[in-house]
Amino acid sequence: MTSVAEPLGVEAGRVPGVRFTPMRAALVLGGLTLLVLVALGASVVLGEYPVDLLRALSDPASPDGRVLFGLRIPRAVLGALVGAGLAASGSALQALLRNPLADPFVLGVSGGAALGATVALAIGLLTFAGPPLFAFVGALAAMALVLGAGRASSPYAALLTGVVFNAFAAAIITCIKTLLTPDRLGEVLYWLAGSLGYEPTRTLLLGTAVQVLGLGVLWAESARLNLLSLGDEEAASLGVPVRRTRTLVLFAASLSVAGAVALAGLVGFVGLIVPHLLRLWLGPDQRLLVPASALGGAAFLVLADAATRMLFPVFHAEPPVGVVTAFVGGPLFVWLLNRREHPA
Amino acid sequence: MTAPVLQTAALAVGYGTTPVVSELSLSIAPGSLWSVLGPNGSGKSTLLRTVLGLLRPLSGEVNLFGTALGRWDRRALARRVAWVPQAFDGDAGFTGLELVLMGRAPHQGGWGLPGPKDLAVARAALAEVGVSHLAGRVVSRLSGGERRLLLVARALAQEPDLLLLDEPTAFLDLQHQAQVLDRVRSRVRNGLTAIAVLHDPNLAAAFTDSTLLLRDGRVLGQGPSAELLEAERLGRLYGLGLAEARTEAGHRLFAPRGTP
Repeated sequence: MTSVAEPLGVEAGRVPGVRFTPMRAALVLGGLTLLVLVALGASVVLGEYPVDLLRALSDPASPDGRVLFGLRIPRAVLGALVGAGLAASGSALQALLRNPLADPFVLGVSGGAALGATVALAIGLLTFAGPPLFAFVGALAAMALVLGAGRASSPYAALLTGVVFNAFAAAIITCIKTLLTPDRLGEVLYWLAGSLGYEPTRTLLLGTAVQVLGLGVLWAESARLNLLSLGDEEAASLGVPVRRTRTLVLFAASLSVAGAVALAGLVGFVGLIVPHLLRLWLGPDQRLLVPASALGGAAFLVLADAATRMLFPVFHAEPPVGVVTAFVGGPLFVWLLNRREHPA
Repeated sequence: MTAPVLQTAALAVGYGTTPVVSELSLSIAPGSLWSVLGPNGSGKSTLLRTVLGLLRPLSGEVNLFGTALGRWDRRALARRVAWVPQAFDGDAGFTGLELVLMGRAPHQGGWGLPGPKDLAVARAALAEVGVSHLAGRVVSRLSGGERRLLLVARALAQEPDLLLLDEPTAFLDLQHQAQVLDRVRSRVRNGLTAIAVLHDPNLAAAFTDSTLLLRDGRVLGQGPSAELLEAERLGRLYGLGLAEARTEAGHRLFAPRGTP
């Protein structure tokens, strides 16, 4: 991060000491959009079956066309949706819980979703959208529980309830796992590891709607989120309706995480690493950090998913994308923990 | 005579159900600077929090600018009343100017994009407290005293009619203690009303018009600082023997009597 100590004075669109200006936001978000497009482009041509873009586009009925439109594009879109939802809600939750190392799964959403999906897989609901639907319902139920229990004045109440709920859900999942046949157990484990599959267009459209709604609310509340990151009482003294804003942000973030988890299972580290890295570059202003995290998370997950396909020849199977994000995210996380939060 | 800025009647403040201070009746006129003195835990900060609407009064009434506290909208109140909290424990990743601009939030649209006026007011507030050089510095790299000065600047940028300062001089060196109170003093001359929780009776005597003394959950005294602040009464307030002296200019000074 460059030092922002400069002489006072305003030039075109630049205000020394203020890092969120419309011009800077446009530049940053424009650049990140370009990155997402590059990631999407790379993702649709990379894979075990090399797609000839020219042939695919000129004849959608050709094998290349069918792979591109039927498999690669839907999967890249799915990755972008999941990455955007996890990273942007991670950023908002880090501000809300005043903990830069908070994770989008802290609110119990992951436990609820995993429990829902495990139940669906255990009872053999592999037909239309069984696990995603159950995961979504489980995530929302967990969120309602955590929000209800965390009604106390401190944001830590919600966080602690979420952590406890996750542990509780993990115990039930373990219990269910011991009762499963090996095939079903394999399905559950693969889902829990976080993987991108091939969802029908209808599911993708629904997932997009959920993310637009969730992330839209987060971005709309981002200026109040900045004030909340100072502390509840200071925010209130600056005119923020604290309880309403906190509930709205928790709800929107949970909706977005539930939508992501329902589509891809538990993909770890995206919601932790992406906002944290962007924060080092852009500063803590959520008005910029929420949309930047959405774009950065989308690019990151799309590229990570392309990497899983590149690994196919190595493993003779596709590892879940959650494994790749963990391989990249784990060491990055340790590195972030071991450096000062605000470099010179 | 204009309506009092702050008026309380039989007010009891505290957390949960136990009052920290009770039977508090105050009337604070516009354009005055008050200090609140008392031992640690005597309810000074609790009183400020209650006046800000952060804590519900346990009983009694609080009126701000002639309107009952409960009827104020948060944002409308934030345009009239600003607070300098005791300590800053929020996200320290913002720059000095970003932090001070947050004082403009109640005056801005929902998305808080600063206009030219907001920037001008924020810069003027930084200059007023003497910390223009902190505009571009990240708060996490600043000392406790520098953070404190930024909080004062933020409260001034809020352009309040009533300013509540919770130990504004804590962590500050002597020069900055005097400077902050002097700046508040000159704002008060221009119509601001301010209430400062202080721990130094010398600062209270030097800068404030009126003083409220709190001890053991009740008001030990209130009135003009010039009359109220004397060694015997302050000795009872803090529970130790105090000596009083006068400077050549006539200012009163208080110091603990050394134990023999």
